[in-house]
Amino acid sequence: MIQMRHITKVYKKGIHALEDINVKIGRGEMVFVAGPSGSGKTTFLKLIYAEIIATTGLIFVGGKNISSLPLKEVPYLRRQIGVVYQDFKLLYQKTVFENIAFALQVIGLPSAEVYKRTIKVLNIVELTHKKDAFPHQLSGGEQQRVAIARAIVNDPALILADEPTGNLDTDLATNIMNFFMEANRQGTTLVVATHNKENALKMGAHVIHLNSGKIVK
Amino acid sequence: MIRPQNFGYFCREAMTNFKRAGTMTYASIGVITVTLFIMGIFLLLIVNLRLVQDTLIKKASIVVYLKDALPIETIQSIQTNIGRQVNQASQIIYISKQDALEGFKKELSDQSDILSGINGNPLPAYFEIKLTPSIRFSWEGLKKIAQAIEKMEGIEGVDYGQKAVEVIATITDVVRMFIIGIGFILGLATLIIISNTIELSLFARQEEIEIMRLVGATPWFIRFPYLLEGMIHGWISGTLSIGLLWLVYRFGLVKTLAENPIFLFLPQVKFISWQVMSILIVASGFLGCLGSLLPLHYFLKSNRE
Repeated sequence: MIQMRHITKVYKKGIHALEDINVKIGRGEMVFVAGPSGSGKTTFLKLIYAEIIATTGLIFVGGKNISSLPLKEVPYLRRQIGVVYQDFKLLYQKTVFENIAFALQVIGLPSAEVYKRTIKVLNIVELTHKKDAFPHQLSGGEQQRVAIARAIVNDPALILADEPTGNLDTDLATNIMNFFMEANRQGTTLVVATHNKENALKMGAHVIHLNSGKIVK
Repeated sequence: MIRPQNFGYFCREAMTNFKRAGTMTYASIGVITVTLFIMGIFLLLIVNLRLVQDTLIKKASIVVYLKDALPIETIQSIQTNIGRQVNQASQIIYISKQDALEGFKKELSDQSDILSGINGNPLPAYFEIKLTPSIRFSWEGLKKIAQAIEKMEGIEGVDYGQKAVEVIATITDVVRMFIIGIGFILGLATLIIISNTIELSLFARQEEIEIMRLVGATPWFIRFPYLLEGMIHGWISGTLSIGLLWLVYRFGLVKTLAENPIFLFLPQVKFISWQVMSILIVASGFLGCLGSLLPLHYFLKSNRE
């Protein structure tokens, strides 16, 4: 699903975020990218959804070389990837339903289809009863479930999550992780960035340890 | 990809943006309306100057002054030649030296003391050509006929009201140049105002746009509602400015001209035509579109490192 060959990323200000990364993540795998803050986890994820491009090296996503993906093709890559952020990135003036439906509207699906799919994922994340609520009326855990619903509503082959439980307490974090694991069981490839190595190891998933932009075993 | 079924979504988004911008929207519409209104005033001026010019041309007659003491055959041949130049239906009237003097005396019968100072007959004989009103002569056509007649033998001079028409033509030209110049400046101002309004709208929705990009919206999909918003801006302003112009025309211009006898010789003033109005509205919609494209271009420019 994802393959990185000799990836190095140096930001404009001369910050070396990643150095000579070689990674292979198979279809349907669940992988944690663990490491302290500033170790390059977010850069790792951003490279996959083409928010940034690698300074050197090659990246393949779903068999396609995206190392020098033309800008106009970026939206189509992103439609195959669901991204979940630590800060949820929800739209606070839109309802729960609208936040999820938004991801389908912007790719131009007809409204009947948007409605059907949105209701379906609301059911999965158990938020059907809150569909007309606004994000600020929800708890942190519920907000993150909305974000997850938005990420999976498009049936992506790949889900990227950047510290998805970073802002949540342990119980809620476990609850959120269960949704991810369920998606993974359905065959979705999952890449989760976390600073909590122990949690990752506990789940028995494959872990990529990053430190100062390098993979450490 | 933009599909027809997305238009509902685009329109809703454009209307939401429009309402959300609030005061800024009203301010920008107000300023653009005034800008277009100023432009409209000049258009109104040009339309009516043209009307005056047309009226003068329609009423125009050509007077051909003859040299003194021409033999009757020459006068007859001049008449035949003039007949060939102008339309058959036009009237060609010969006024002899004597008739001219009689006419002059009649006109000045109140001031007979002026006439007493005249010795002999200083007036030339002339042909008066009354052009058929059914045929709309262009100014150029009239000039051509006059020039052809002037070249004939035995002609002293030709008068066809060229002075008045030329003065109006010059004014029309100046106003037209002015419109082009001022149109450019006002167009630019409109563009900047709309750009600023849309830019504010974009800033307010920065987060939304970022999320749109992250979930895979194409740049055109993001742009479209803003283009519509700019276009609606332009349309509303264009329509309002025409309305304002009409009020000024109906309750200002027409009334003033009707109440002042000095303007009696002028033809009934006209409003700008439907075609010009449509062009004005379409052009302002286009300006609105362009005005929103500019900030969008900077906003959606990738910051991909």
